[in-house]
Amino acid sequence: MVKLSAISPAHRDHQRYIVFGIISEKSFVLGDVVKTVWTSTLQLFGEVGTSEITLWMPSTLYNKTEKKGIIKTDNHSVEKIRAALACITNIENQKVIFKVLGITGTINAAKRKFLDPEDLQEKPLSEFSS
Amino acid sequence: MSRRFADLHILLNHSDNKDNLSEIVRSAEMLDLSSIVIFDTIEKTSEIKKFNDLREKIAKINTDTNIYIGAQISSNNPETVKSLILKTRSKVDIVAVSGGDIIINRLAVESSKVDILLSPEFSRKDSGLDEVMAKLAAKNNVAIGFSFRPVLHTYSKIRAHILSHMIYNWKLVKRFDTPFVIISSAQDVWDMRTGRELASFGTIIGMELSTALDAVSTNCEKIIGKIKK
Repeated sequence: MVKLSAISPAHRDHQRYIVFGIISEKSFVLGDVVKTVWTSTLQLFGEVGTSEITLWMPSTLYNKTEKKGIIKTDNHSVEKIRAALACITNIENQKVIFKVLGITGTINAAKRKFLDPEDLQEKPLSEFSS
Repeated sequence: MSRRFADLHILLNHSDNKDNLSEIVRSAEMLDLSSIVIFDTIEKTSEIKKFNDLREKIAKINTDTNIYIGAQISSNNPETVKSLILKTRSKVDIVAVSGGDIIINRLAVESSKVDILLSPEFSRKDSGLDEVMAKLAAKNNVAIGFSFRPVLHTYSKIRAHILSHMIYNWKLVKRFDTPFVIISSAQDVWDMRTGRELASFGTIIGMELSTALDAVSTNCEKIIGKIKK
């Protein structure tokens, strides 16, 4: 398969990693969290607005027990994603508050500062959906 | 120096003869809010006594968060609103008027005894604020409160209308240099948000990030500073 040629580093967007925590009475599987974040973003910014946002949640960087996760985005989308996270009121009918713990420029800094690497779920993606 | 965030409007919720005061304070600590203002609604002059009880309850709470008391005047009768503004001023730290009715909005911005006009666009088909009112609010130092809660609990068409009115109000506030704050207007602990998240909400209604951050920190401190004087 032919691969797209890589964009030169100077033309790439600057990546940002938003580390979030979920304040709630119970914990949630990653699939539900991803679905809720996307729904909130689509509701707030619409399809065209969301298309301008970079939003990716790596499955290996979600800690179900500590209710912490990372959203990979770029420097132009950070505020929009923060606003979308603030607009989330519930996941699977459980009331929640999304709290942004910090924003980093590298994935290693995000892991080092906010997540305990031993607790991260190194599981196949299929296990994260309900 | 890191910013100290404040939420100048959290409404006390009375249900089953209990209030959620302790939960609000615990949640404010969790959300890193340095100051909060707990409001109770008042519709009649006879209800003024409840603020003394609220002050006593707050004095018993052991917390690092600064807690202030506010009166939210909710009445559609201009005479009642005028009388409540005068009577509550000495009893509470912050006086806010619930916006929505155009006459009440005008009355609130004309009085220098009012600290915040809450959601002037509430339940309206227009923004509830015009150039004259924005100028009066600037002259009398009445802050316009941009509430997050109406956006949090509405969807699609209604949310779009609310945001559109807020964007218009923000343009007026910016043009006439009117004081403004971003507030959660939480009625439940689950409606509360961190100061930084409220600032993000400010950016979606057109504020620059630094201005939005001021709206949840510096501008709030100015209003709190008036209490201390």
